[in-house]
Amino acid sequence: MPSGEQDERLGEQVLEHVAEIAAGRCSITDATIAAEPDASSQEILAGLLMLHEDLEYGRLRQVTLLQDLRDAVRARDEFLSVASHELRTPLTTLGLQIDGLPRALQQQMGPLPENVSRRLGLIGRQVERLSALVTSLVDVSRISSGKLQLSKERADLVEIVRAVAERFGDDARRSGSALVFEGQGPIWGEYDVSRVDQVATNLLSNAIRYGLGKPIAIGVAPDGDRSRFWVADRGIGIPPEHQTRIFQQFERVAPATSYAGLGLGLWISRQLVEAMEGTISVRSEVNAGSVFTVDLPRGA
Amino acid sequence: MTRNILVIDDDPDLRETLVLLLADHAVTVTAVGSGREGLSVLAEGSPPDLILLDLMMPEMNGWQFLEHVRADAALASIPVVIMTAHPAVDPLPAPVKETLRKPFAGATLLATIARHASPG
Repeated sequence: MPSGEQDERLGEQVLEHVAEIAAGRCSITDATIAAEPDASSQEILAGLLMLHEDLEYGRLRQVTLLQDLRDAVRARDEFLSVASHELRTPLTTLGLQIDGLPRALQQQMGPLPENVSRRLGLIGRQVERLSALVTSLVDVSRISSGKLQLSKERADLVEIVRAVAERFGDDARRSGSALVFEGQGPIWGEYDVSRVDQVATNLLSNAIRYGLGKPIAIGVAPDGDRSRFWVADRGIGIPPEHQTRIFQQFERVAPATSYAGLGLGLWISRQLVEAMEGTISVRSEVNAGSVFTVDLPRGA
Repeated sequence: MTRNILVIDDDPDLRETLVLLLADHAVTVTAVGSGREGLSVLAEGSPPDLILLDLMMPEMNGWQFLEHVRADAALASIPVVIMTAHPAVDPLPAPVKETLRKPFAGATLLATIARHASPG
């Protein structure tokens, strides 16, 4: 065979083999290499065979790594789920004991001295905080495993949000922020009351935490067949480049050394709002404050 | 009028806490540590006004306990409130009226009892 034709045949053969290798197959064997008439062709085919083996090894390794990664994520989620459930039982007992303590003490000693009731109040608030943290761990594990369930009922959104604002009255006062509620009801719709409460609670506790003691507004308004509530603070604000990141899991913009938190609240809020077919968004400016807005369908 | 409540939870500290807390609010509590003990209490005495039931328990869990209660016409009318670390089960199986998600506050517990337990 003239060498030009031979080169052309080898060239075609190489292209075919490359296409095969790219598709994850290989028909080159030691026998096909040995059958090649000259040493340089044998070398080319042997090189292709090695390339195929390297790629196969890489592919297998990738599959193993991916499986390892999935196993690790599953182990993390299972651990979160078990740990958070385990934590809830002692917290229940602790919380109930503290709830009952003022009454039990008053029955024994009459009206409680100021310093005792202040301490009891403080212990109670810390237990509530612990409970909220544990609840967010439970929620993460339920959301990650796709087990989040909503239970909607006919309710007034104004009342749900107003109740959250009232609950935070003391916290806001302690932080120095004046808390204003804006909204006239009712706005009836089909809402998962406890989940809407949870989102509003999260946004308001963030506003108090990052609000620098300046005024905070929480409001509700109807919007056609939808409804909206918002929490506006005048605190530290969020730089534009971080405004998407804050809705991701374990992400926090404020330094963990200065501000408490697990970095889960806004991620959970977004997951809950999206499960309710709503949206959550933020407008913010550094040192001017943040406005978080939740838009929800009124459902039916 | 005093309400009578049967508490079934495998956590002894939570049982004691509920006994103490509810005693302050004119609620008499019988507390046991498993579904099996719960059934024997129900077989012996007069029916309680409400059952507060934990779900995850060794030796007959809450779900198994509910199956027994449902199968017995004399017991099936007693209202049950589940206490669980898991979020609410939807829909609630009869005769479960409500779920108290652990941890819950004393005021929530008392309001729930007032809603479902008619003193008899």
